[in-house]
Amino acid sequence: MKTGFARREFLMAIGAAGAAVSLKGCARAAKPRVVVVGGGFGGASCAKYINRIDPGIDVVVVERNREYVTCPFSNNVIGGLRTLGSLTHGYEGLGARDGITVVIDTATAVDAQARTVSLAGGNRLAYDRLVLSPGIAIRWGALDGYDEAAAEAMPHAWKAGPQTLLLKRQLAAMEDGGTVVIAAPEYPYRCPPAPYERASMVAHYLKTNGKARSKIVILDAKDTIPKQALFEQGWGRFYEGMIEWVPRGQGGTATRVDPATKTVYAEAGEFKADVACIVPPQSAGGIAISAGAADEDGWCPIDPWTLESTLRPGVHVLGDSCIAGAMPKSGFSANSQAKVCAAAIVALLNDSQPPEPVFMNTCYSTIAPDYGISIYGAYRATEHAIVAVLGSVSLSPLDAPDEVRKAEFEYAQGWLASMTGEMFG
Amino acid sequence: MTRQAFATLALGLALAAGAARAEGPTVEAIARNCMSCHGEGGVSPGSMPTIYGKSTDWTIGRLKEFRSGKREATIMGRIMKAFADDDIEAVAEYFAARK
Repeated sequence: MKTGFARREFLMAIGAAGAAVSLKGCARAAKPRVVVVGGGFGGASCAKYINRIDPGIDVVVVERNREYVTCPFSNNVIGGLRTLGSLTHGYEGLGARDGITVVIDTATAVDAQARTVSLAGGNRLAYDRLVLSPGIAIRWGALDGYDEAAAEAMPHAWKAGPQTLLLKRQLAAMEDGGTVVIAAPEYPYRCPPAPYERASMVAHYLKTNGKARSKIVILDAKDTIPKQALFEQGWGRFYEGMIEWVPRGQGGTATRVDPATKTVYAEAGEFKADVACIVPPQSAGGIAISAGAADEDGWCPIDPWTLESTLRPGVHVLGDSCIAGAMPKSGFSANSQAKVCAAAIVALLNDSQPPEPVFMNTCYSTIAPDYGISIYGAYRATEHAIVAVLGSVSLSPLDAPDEVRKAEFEYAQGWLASMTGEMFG
Repeated sequence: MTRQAFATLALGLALAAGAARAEGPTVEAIARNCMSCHGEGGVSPGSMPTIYGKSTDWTIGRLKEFRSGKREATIMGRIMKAFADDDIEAVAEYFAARK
């Protein structure tokens, strides 16, 4: 089994790399500019790290919202463990750094030939390298009946903000004994364990607000779920009899929704809900698709060493929008990809070779207060794909004592503090 | 996968790309992943331990204890499984140098 990240080989090769590094400063005539579209886990992190690695590069971040609400921990808001305000961040810190400009505007078009990005406000930005990190778009109508109007009756809450609060209000209005239906899609989608963390947090909210006779039905288009044994163990302990999981093999795949009656139609039958949360089919963010960086499935193929689009040279795609092989679509993954991409872009703009990537991901999930679980993986790049480092992907142990679950719950909060500090500080 | 196989793969990649790519990630590339949890520069603003400014020996000792299981951990034991001795030493030196 391979162990380690082969630093010995790197040290032996450093002499050759040194020649390329020495070109820095004389190869480029003007200050190069990188435009980053999207100020989330991928985009804000990438802007920050380009600036950290080479402050001589002009970085412009284009973000449509003045404030960013993290999707990580938005299930904790539904459970009543955090406020949405505690997940909300402004761009003052990022924009105050020398070399980074934050523009609050919407990118509407990319001209990859001319290397420009058009903004809704009328400006057009020229770039040497473009980073697209727009997150996901919802494929309205891909699930029969689920359009933007339907999401006002049956929230997805898969982008944190008003949708999160809408779901929370609906749960607050529901009577004890009601039925909550959560529809989970087939891969790929943002944050694989999140539908099950959501079920946990909905159950926690109901149990602690006098609605413990209510039921949660998860209709799933998959036959297995991430951290399955850990979730099932936690559900048995905290929410006995409240959560029913209907996998694909038992007809769990949702095929149609009717927002007027809050009914979800699945192969297993009709599920009439008091509150319905639909995790809809997704694609890369709209700007990545209109830029021509997405394939026919709606996701963006990339060079695993540089995160550069294989379809649009000069355009790098990060985070949920890109096809990152074995890496799950998570905020942590986007942040790790952003650091690799930043190093690659700095190298490319300095006529140097992109360094070898190393990626990591940790996804924490909250099952109950003081009860957290995690999955971890390290990843590396082959010529065509990002693959897991053999033996690195691991789960919290099933037999862990309560103090370990409590520590993971607390470290999860610490992770969010560290990462948002890095992104927005 | 063996280290030998990994090195061969990297060489094949360099040949396919028509140019030499540095073999093996730099310590900076590894350390940036540490910062995702332990904070920018290794300075944690929350419940994660700060890892900046510790002595090299202290960090090497801790990380090897996590890897062997001698020291209990939630996740560090799992993370360290993919780290060779020279990865651990390089990361320890990197954060120690940031005193």
